[in-house]
Amino acid sequence: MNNQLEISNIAAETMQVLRYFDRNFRSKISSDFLKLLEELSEGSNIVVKIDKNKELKDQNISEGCKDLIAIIYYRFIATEDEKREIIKAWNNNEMSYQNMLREKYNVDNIFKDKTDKNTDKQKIENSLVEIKKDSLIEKIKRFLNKIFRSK
Amino acid sequence: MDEQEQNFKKLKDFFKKDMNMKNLLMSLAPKEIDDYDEESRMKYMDALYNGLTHFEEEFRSIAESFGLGEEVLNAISKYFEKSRNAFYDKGMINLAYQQIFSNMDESLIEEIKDQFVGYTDYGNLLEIIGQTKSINELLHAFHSYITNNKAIMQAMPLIATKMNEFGYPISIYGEQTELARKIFLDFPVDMDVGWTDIVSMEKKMLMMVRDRGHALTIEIDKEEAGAVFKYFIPKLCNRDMIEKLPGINKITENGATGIFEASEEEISEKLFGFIGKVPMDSDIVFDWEKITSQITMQNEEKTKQEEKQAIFEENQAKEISIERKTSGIKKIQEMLQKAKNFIKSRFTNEKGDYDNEQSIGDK
Repeated sequence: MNNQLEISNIAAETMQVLRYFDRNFRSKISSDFLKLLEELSEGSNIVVKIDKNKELKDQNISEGCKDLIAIIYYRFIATEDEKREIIKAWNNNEMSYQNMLREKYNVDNIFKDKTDKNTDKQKIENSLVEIKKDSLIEKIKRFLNKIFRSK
Repeated sequence: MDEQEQNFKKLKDFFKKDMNMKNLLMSLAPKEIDDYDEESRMKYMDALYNGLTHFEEEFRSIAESFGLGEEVLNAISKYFEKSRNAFYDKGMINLAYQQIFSNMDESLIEEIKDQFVGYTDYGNLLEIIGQTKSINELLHAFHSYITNNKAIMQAMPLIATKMNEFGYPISIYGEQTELARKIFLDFPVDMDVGWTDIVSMEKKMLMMVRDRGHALTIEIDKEEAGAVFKYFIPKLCNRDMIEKLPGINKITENGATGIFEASEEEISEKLFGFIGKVPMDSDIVFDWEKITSQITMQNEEKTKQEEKQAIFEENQAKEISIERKTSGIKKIQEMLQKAKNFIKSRFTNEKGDYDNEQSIGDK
């Protein structure tokens, strides 16, 4: 999605969600920041459906909106101790996420899986092959074939 | 006859019809003899019914004359059809006369005052006709529409114009009469008024004065020994001043009306003395206490509404915050910064508190 439209939609979504916080919460957010979000929202037609019976984390809102709410909380609401706690959480979450991605897309792991599978298959196949002993005539035939092919 | 003269004739004809209809209305009022017996009652009802037909013809003629359009003509027809249908339901002759001919509903009068104001372009005659129930109300509607209509007044033949000291023209249209001449020449140029239009007819004058009470209108009827002045002030500006005006008889939120008279010698003195006392916007006195308490009440009401709507708590925002990861946060921050820079580039010297801040998430 075009970046401008994306941020417009996120800003509009966030503004609508913020309306469901009490005045005390909203008054802590700087008016300049709200003004910026208001201005960005103008380019968006997004409508948020809030379920009044659900908590914020269970609402059907975008990941971008959740990130923006987190930014707002960190910048305007959180105490210093909370800020440290939040940064730590973000970094831990990021690490876990990166680890998960690494596990999922690790090159070695991708091929490792495939190789093991093939080896097993070969073993199975090998175990089914009958080992025949060659007769003398067969050995001579093979020798002569070799000579003629190399010419 | 040129267009302006034709317009002037239409206006004079209107006032003639207006007068005739008022006289007919009064003559149709029931007398004791009309209720004497069955025959007299039938005769009276017939007279009322015929009166309806006559009124319809007059109103249609006025509407056509002023080019008010098909919709207004249809509304008039509809009104009279309704009146005829209701006619035989009324039964008693007093009731028939009152309800179909003479009643004046206060709320409709207020609506008319609100709609037909001088020097404004709003005013829906069609809507008002739809609301009228009696001939008297219909007549009042047409009268207000025409006498408060700047466009109609200014479409008359111009006799003379002069500028006042405040840069506004005082103009007189219509017929040159002694009264017109006197009023125009005596009109003080040092009196603080806006645009003023005066239409002069043989025994009547209409005056519309801007900036006094927003758009003061005065109807002047020449009598044998003087004149009678009927006025309408659409905007009160200062109630105390309005209450002290000569001949004031009704004040509501939609304006004030009154009537006074003057002898021949007193006409100019009383007329301009009156105009000079009508309050202007500069006479408005703000009741700051009332305004402040109204604003406080509105804010309190708004706060209550907002509190009702508040369903998310601060700790829920914290809960969401702790679940996020640095890459997502950085992405949104960068998008915000780019958007902010873009907005800033459209305006110069704009500062916001987002400037010079480190990115969140940096150790």
